[in-house]
Amino acid sequence: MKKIEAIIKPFKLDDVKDALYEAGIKGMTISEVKGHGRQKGHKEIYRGAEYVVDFIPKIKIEIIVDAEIVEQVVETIRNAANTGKIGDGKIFVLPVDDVIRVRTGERGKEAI
Amino acid sequence: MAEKRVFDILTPRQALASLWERGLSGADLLREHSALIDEFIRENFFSVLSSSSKGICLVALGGYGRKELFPYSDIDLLLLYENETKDIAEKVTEAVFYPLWDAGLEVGHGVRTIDACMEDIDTDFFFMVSLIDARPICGDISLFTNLSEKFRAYFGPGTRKKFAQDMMLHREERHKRYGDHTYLLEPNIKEGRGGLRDLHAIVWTGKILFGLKDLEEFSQAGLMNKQELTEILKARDHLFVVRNRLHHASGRKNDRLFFEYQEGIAKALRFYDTSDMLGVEQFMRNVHRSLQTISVASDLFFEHVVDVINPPSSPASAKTLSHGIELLRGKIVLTDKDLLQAKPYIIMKAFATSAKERLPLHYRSKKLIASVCSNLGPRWRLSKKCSKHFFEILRHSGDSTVLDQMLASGFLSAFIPEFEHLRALVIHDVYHVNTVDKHLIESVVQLNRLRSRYSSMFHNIENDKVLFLATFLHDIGKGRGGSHAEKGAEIVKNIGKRLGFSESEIDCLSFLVANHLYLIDNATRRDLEDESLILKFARHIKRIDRLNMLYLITIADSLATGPNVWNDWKEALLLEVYHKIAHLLEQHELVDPDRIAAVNWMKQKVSELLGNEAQEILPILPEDYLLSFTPQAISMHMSFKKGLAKDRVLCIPEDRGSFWSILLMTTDRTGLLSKICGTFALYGLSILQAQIFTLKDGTVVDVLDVRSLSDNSFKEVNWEALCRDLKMAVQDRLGLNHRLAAKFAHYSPKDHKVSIRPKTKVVIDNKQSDFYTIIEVYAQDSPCLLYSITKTLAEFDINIHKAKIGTSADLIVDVFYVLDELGQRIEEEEFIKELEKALEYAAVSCLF
Repeated sequence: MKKIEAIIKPFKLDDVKDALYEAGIKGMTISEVKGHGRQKGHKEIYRGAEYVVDFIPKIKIEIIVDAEIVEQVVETIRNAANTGKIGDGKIFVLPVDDVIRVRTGERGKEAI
Repeated sequence: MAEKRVFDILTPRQALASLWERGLSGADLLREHSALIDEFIRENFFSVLSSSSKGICLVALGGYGRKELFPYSDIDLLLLYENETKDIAEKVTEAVFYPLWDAGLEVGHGVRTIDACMEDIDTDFFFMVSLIDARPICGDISLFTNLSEKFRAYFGPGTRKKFAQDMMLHREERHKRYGDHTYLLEPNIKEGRGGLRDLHAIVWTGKILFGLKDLEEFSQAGLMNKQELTEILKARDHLFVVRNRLHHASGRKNDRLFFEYQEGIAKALRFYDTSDMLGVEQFMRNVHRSLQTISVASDLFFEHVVDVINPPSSPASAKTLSHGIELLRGKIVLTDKDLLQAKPYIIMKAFATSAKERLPLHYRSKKLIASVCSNLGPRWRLSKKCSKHFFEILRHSGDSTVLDQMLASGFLSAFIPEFEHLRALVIHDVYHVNTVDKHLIESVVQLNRLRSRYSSMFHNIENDKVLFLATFLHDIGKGRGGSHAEKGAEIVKNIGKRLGFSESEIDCLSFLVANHLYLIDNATRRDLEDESLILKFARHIKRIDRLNMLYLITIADSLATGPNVWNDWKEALLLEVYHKIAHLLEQHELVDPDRIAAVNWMKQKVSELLGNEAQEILPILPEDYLLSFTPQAISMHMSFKKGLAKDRVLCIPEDRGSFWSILLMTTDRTGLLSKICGTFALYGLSILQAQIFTLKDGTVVDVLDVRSLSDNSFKEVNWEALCRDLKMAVQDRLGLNHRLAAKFAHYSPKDHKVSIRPKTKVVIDNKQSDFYTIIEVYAQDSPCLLYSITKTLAEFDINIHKAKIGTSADLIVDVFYVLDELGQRIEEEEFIKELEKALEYAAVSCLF
C-alpha cells in the first residue's frame, strides 16, 4: 500500500477530483495548505499599503492506494493538475505499513 | 399478583413504544408517559408497603413532577422519610428504584428527610428548582404537605431576590454553553436560547417571585397580553412535539436538533419539499420561530424582573433626548404610542440613538414598538429621516444588539417588508451556522469590524450607503428558488428606490448583490495566471470602488457564515485576484469601453472572413494583435499560418515607399528576436519599428518596418537570400557573430561619438503589468544594437512576449515585455541588478 500526497493549485482541485473519481478512486483527504517551493511568495503594493504573501495557497490531496495502481493514480493527477507553468505542484509517494478501518477493525486492502 | 406480572413484562420502554404507535404526540404524550411511569412506580411501591403506611412519601420532581415526561428524560424522584422510617425507606428504595434502573431508565434519585431537603436547598440550586414542580406520587401525603409549607416559607423577601438573581445567572451561563441565540442551525431545543428551559425559568421565577401559578396567571397579572400568551403556548406545544420526535429519532436523551435528524423529523411531521424550499427548511423555520418567540418573551420578562428586584431608591426624572425619546436611568424610553404610530421615524431614531450612544432600550419600549409595528402602513418607509437613521444604525452596528432588537420586534420587517420572508429562514447546508436573517445582521456587524483593518479601502469608497445596504441585503433573494443572487439583484432595486437612492446608486447596489460571490468563486476556481481572464473580471467589475466594495462584502459575508468558512488561505487567494483586477482597473486603457467595442468589432469582422475556422482561431488571437491589423490582414496571416508546418519560417517583404515592411511568421522560441535582428543587420537593414505578437498557440507574427543603411532600393536587396539565411539563423545554423563582425569591420558612423554614451539607460519594472516584467532600454542607435540587446536577453533565458522598438532622433527606446524561463516575472533583486548591468553593457559595447 502506498500513500500518495499531491500538492496542487487550488483551481485545479475539481479537475483532479473528477479525474480520480473516473479512475475509480473514491476516498481522499483534501486540505487547504500553504507553502512554496521554487516558486516563491510575492509582494503586492496597492495604494501605498504593502501586502506580503510569503506562502502561496495550495491544495493537498492524500490518497491511500494499493501499490499496483500507484503509477496510474500519479499519472491521473499529473494530467489533471498540469498547466505547464511554475507552481503546478508536486506529487509524493510514501510507503504505508497498514490501514485499519475504525468501525470494523478490518485491515490492509480491505480497509482502504 | 398475576396482574403485576403482566405489567412487569410490559416495561416502561415498551409502554412508550405503544404510546408512539397510538400516534400520541406533544403534551398528550408527555402526560400519558408520566401517568404510565406513575403507575409502574406505584405498583412497585405498594408491593412492599400498604397504602396506609405512614412516614414515607414518594415525590416526583422536575419535568416528571410537571407531568411533562419526555421519552428519554430523567425520572427525578425524591423519597421522603422520617428518622423512624429509615429502615422502611431502604426497602422502598430497592423496590422502586431497582426496577426502574433495570428497565434502562435514567433515574435521578434522592432519599432525604424533610430537614435534609431544607438544608440542601441552600447549597444546591438545581435541587431547589426541581422542588418547585414537586408532586406526590404515593405514600404519606402529610410529609409532602409539610415539605411544601417549609419550602414556601423559605422564600422571604431576601431569598426571593437571591433566587431571581441566581436564576438569571444560570440562564446566562446556559445560553453561553448551549447557544447564545436562536438562529443556530443545530439548536438545542431544551437548553439553548428560546428553548424549553427558558420557558421553565419564566414560570419558576414567576411562581417564586410573584406567586403566579402558571402562564395563564401571568396574563391575568398583566405580565403579558392575550396574544403573547397564545403565541408562547403555541411555541411551547410545538417544541413539545419536536422534542418528542427528536427523542424518538435519536433513541436517547438528546435535545440538540442535529442535521442528521432534521430531515427525518421534518418528514414525520409532514413537511414536504416545494420548488422554493425543502421540507426540512420549512420545518426548521418553524422551530426557529418558536425558539424566537420564547426567547423574546423570556428577555422581556427578565428585564422586568431586574426592575422589580432592584427598585429605584428615589424617583428619577426622565431626560428628553429628542422629540418623543427620553432617557430614564440609562435606558432609552418611548412612551407615547400615538406619537409612534403617527411618526414611525421616531422609532428608527430611537434605535439609531441606541446604536450610536450604546444605550439600551427599556423593555417596555420594546413591547410598545412591537405592538405598533403591525399597523404602520407603507408610506413612512419613504421617509428621508427614516432612511437617514437606518443607515446610522447599519454604520454603528459593531455588535448585533440593535439590529437583533429591530428584527425581534418586527420593526425591521415593517420597514423592509421583503425581509419578512427571510425571518428564521434556514439554508440546509453545512456551511451556514445561522439562519438567513441572522446571517445578514452578522454580515453588517462583520463589515463594521473590518473598518480598521481595511481603512484605506473604506476610505476609497465614496458612498458607503450602497456598501452597507448591499451587505445587509446580499442574501435577500434566498428561499425564492433559482439563483438567489439574481433574484436579490431585482428585489433590492425597489428597496433602494424607497430609501431614496439615485439611479446610479441603485445600479451599483443591484450589481453588488448580483455579484456578491463573484470574487470568491473566481479566486478559488480560476487560474489567476491567465491575463485574459483577469481582464474579463476587470471589465465585468468596471470600477475600482465597486471592486473594493465587492472585496469587503466577500469577507464580511464569509466571516458571518460560520467559524470555519474564512481563513487566511482563502484570503490569500482573494487578495491575489483583488490586486490583479485592481491593477488592470487602474490602467484605464485596458478597460476603456471604446477599446472593448473595437475588439468586439474586429472579432466580428475576422470571423466573417474566416468562416468555419473562426471558432478555432479567434480564441488564440490576443487583443493587441486584433487591434493592430485590418481584418483582411489577419485573415491573410491565418492562411499563411497553415504553411508554417512545412516552411518553419515565413518572410514576406513589401515596399512601402519610404520604408519597407516585412511580415515574419514562425513558431516562438527563446532568442528568436535576436536571430531576426542579427540577420537583418547582416543585410544592412535597420529596424525602425517592430510589432511582435505571439498568438496563444505559440505562433509568432512579427511586422518589422525597416530601411536600408546603404541606400539600396527595394529591388536591389536579395530577399530570397535573406529569407534563406533567416531560416538558417532561426534553426541555429548561422554564425551571426562572426558574419556581423566581418560585415561591420570597416563601419564608422558619422555620429558615433563616445561622449554621447551616457544616454544609455536600462529600466526594469514590475509594477506596470501584473503578468510581465517590462524592460526599457534607452541607447544610442547603432545597426547591431537590437541584436546585441535581444541576444543578451536570450542568454539569460528570458522570453520576449511583446516588444516596441521606437527611434527618436538618434536615441533608441526599446521596450520589452518579458518573462523568465519558468514563465515568471523577474523579481529577484540581485538578478535585476545583474540584468541591468548586462544590458547596459550590451548597449554600449555593441561592436559596430
